Amino acid sequence: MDFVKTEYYLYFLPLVVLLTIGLASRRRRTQLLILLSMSYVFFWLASGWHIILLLISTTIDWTAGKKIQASDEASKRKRWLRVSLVTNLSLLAVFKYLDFLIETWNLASLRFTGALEADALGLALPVGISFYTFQTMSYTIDIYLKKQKPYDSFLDFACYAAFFPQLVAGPIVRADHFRKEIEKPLSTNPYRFRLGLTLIIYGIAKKLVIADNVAIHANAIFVEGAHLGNMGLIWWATLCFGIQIYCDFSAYTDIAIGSAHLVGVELPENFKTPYAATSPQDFWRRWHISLSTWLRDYLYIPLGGSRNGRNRMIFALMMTMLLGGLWHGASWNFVLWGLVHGLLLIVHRFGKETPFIKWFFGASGRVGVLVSWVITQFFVFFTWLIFRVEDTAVLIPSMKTFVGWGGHFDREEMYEHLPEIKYLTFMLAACFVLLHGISGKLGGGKEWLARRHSVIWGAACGTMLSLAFYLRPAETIDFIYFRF
Amino acid sequence: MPQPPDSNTSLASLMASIGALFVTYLVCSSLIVPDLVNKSLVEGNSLSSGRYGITFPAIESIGELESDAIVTIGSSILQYATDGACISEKLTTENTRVYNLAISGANPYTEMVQIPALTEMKPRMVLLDLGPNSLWNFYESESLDDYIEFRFTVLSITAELHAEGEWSDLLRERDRTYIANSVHERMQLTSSYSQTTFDELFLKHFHDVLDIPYYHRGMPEIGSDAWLSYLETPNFMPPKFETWNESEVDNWFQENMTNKAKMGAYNPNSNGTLNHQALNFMIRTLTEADIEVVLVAPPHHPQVYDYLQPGQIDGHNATLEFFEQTYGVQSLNWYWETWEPGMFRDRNHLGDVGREYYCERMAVELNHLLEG
Repeated sequence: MDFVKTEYYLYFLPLVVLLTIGLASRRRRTQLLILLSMSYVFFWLASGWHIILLLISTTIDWTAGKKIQASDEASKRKRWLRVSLVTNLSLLAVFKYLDFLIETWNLASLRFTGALEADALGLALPVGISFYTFQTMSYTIDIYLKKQKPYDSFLDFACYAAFFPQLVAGPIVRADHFRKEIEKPLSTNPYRFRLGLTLIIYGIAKKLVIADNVAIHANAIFVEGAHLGNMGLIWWATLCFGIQIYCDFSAYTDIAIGSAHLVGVELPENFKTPYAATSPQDFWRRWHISLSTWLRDYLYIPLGGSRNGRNRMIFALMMTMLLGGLWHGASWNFVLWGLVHGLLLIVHRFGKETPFIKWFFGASGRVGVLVSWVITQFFVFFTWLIFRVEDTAVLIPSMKTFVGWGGHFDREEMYEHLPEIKYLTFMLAACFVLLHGISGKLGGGKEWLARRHSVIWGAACGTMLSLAFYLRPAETIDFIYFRF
Repeated sequence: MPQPPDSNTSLASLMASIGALFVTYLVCSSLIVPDLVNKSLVEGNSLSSGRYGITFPAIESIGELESDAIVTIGSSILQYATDGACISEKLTTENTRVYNLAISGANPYTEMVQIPALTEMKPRMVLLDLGPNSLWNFYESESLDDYIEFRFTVLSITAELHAEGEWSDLLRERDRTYIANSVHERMQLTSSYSQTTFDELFLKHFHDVLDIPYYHRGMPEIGSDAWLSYLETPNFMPPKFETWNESEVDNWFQENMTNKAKMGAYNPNSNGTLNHQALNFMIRTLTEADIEVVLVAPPHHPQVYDYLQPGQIDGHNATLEFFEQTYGVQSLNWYWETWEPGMFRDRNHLGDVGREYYCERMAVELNHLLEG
């Protein structure tokens, strides 16, 4: 079960809405019980027996939260925090990183001793593990830091940990936020319902029409790994992947937020037109906001943040970005991706203080904004190249070509090696750039659309759905963030 | 959740919104986009040849004309043999035109789908391709399955087909998925060409801006004069054997014909194949509707016969005899006639000279049949 399966829209979501808002109206406990049961059903259908891991994480963090709150003894409080952190990090370590560590160890062994040491376990990555472990860890950390109280009932907490719209790929919701959402009986209203539908339809169209179509181009170029010296191909493939990852992930978030609206829960925004960012710092304020704020609050600041001197700040920033990169997946390209983002943030932080840069951007007005946008997006897309390509045999020549090192431009070669459907994809990419630009300038169009007249709304949403049906590629591509 | 000040959505307007959504979705998905796809299949470049999409629009166009129609259906052998305009001009019966709807790759199994529409259109006569190449037994072949999927899908998109009645009973289980029985199934099949359609539309409109060469491969606009003329006389393949010298042609036969002679096209069955069942359905349905059926078997290049064993083509003779006796249909079996090598474009297709000769022969036969 996921958000591109028709069963979700035909059976699952209508049933949840009917049961929660219709039948159990105003009965908070019953509503939460239904939500929890349906969330477990959703997770079971998405990831099978891995639901046990979710139940372990939920039970341990619930107990740890209660124990930390109940005790005034510092050592006891710390012990229970450790229990929570070790449990969650162990789940991540075993199911997400163990094979990566074994393979890295084997590579090192092969180099020094000439023999492989251990077999990889081949464990399947449980869906959403990176999201729900981070979510429940932040809960116990906040209780330990006395920033919040534990939930009053296990039902409420279990609902927070397993709420189906955001369970698989976020947004990572803070416990306090969710508590406020469910403290009263869940209810919705016609405007909110329509907003929810708008977000869902917008998300479906964005995923199926844009993300999946441009993905075919990016995959064809990076998987085939041919003609990597052609700048046109590398730039185009990188642009396609940048569009894909944003449309894919933000579509998931839109559908998650929209689905939550239908059952009367508001989830936080996760994106604010990231490709309108004019600095690396600005980018991280707009991209995967729930993760970047999580990393800031639970990693960057505890590691020293920016108030303990330059060296400490550099260390905290680099560690945060490296771990943030590794959070995405057990692969060295994600580590490199985090490293480059860390370097960009540091260079930007110190670079903007230099007299020349201050003078240039002070004096250049709009041109300066344009220049900073171009530079920022050049590096953002450069990092997407690193993010996308795991195979170093493809990554290194692609990186060289991207920055113009020994690359060439051959339009005919480019056309020859693009997939069969070309011009539709060009148009979709152009439409995306245009709409993203407008959205960055004027603000999101989803709320605007949700407030339009019934006929306009119906015409726009009906057209989007129809285009999603007809312009989707033959095979739907899994959400990228399912892998994380 | 705070609501924006102008968000005075009521339950009634929510219901109206959802209603508008469904109406728009249905209009776009079952009318506007399918129409675009349909047009692109026939008039655009979505298919390698728009001819694969013309069958039903052509039957509809011919049915709307006041003249009597003689319709040719079958494989490329008849497609490249029949110059409908040439034959029509030689007919002594007034107000009768010959149309050529035969198409490359066609076999009785795929072409039976059009019979209900053809029966409803009620042409004066149907010239049905029945050479030895139509009587092979079905075999496991990916390319054959691909062709059947392609042909059925295109036919399903361009017309409302309902897999009812005898022809649908003949369908192989796997082929049923390519016949749309509902609006939703038709939308599903249409979606297999919608991406290509939009891609083609963008190329057509922006090739100047993008500085990309664009060659229009589509058919004339449906309903136009050029369209009606095309339905009589399609575009024919450029000359091939005609440009080779005698030894080049001899070499070609020596290199290729031994293998080809072992294939199904030269080893017709007498009965029992899906193609026989499809032919039986086609001939019976047409004759029951009082539409005259003529079975046509043009000859192949004279060198072909050097590679055939005695009795190899007997299944063809038996099949023709069966249909003649069962349904009283006429047959024009020219398969065993030896036509000049210069009349052929290749092994089994007529060239310009052969087409001219075929036109004369066919006109004589048709005049005889029409007057009789």
